[in-house]
Amino acid sequence: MTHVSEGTLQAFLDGELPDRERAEVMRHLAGCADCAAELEVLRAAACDLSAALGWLDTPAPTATALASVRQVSSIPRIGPRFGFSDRAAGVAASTRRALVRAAMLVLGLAAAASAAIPGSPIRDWLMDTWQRVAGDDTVAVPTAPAMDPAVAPAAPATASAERMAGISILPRDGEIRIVLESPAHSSPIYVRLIDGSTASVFTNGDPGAASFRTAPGRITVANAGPEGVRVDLPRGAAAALLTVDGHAFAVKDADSLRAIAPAERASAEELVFRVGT
Amino acid sequence: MDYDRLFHLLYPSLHRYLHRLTGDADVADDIAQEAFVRLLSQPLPEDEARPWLFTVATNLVRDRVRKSTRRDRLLVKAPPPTPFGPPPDEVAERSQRIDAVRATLEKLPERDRQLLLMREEGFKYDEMASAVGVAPSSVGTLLARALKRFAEAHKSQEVGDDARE
Repeated sequence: MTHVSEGTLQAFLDGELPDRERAEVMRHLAGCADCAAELEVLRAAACDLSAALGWLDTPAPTATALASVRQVSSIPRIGPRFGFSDRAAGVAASTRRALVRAAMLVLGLAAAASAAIPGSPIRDWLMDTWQRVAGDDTVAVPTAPAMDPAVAPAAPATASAERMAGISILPRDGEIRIVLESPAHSSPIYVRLIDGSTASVFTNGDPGAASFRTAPGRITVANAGPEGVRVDLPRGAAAALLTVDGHAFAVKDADSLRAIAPAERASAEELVFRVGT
Repeated sequence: MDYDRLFHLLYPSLHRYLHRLTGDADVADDIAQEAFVRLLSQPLPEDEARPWLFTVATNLVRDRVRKSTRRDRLLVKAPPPTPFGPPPDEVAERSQRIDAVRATLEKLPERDRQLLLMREEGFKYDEMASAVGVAPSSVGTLLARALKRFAEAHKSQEVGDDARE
């Protein structure tokens, strides 16, 4: 007797056979114990897989993910994203990069001006625009950090509030992940604890090819330039992790920062790293 | 295309597929986000969006696997358990089961994993064939073998865990 192949049995199980072939298989199964047993093996294997996979599942963060997609798609891309290329753009890449750099510089200048002047209408305008674009309050308006010499780490001579671009997010379930991908070699990374509820990441100097991505509780910055990155972590977050090219650099435990990678300067409130050292 | 409605309809399934495929919630978040951002610029009929998204996402996973090097993953320290959380032995059992399933999936070739997980999401054979890059006529055979491999590997993983206890 010619038996039914395992591929045909699987297709039968999955409802993928045309009607005529399905009828033939059913007739064969009625008279062939071996093929009927093989069908049961496949059926049991499929049930085992479904049950096993159920253990892995966690609820998808649909609402916050939609906000992230809207936010990311409203920010002009500053150069190619890490690992992905944009084939859909109709504008020449060089023209787009120039326009985007200009837009980021204007945004950075406006954010710096708003932070410098208490009660500035520019800040109110920025917040209102951001809320309308993002449509979700899980992402805050980017603000330039306060230049308080008692808290801020020693910045490079060339860094200034006017030349910073950044992004802020709220923790997810109390946790924050900051992911830096391919930062410039020997560039500084400043990490500090701040009061407030949002985590922020800023790139110093000309944004250049740096790109920002967000996901619930996570900021990813790719290709930050040689003037470095500044990371502000909220003191109230339950936990936080900073990774650079897949390596853990720092964690926030309870109320303090802890360096995992060698740091140039380290305290419970502030860490300074140098990439590649 | 009603983007928001499509997003709410398709995102949970895509995220679940990616999380099961990669074992990494962050990567699942990232790739799902990238796929949906790309969908914004695609003039697709709604009924083509789902297979398109899964194909793009599967390719992005493949690209990422090719580019990534072996890394140590350090997880953020979990907050201490609250008095109202599940008892420790339940947490331990769940953790063991998750590790067993994850270890079993890791033993399968990437293509087998993709096919099995797309089947779990209800895709047709021609859609799976297109996403993974095989002939539609071979999908049944590939699935049957992958299912048997998973069942055998999962059983021996669980037997191994029981022997260690």
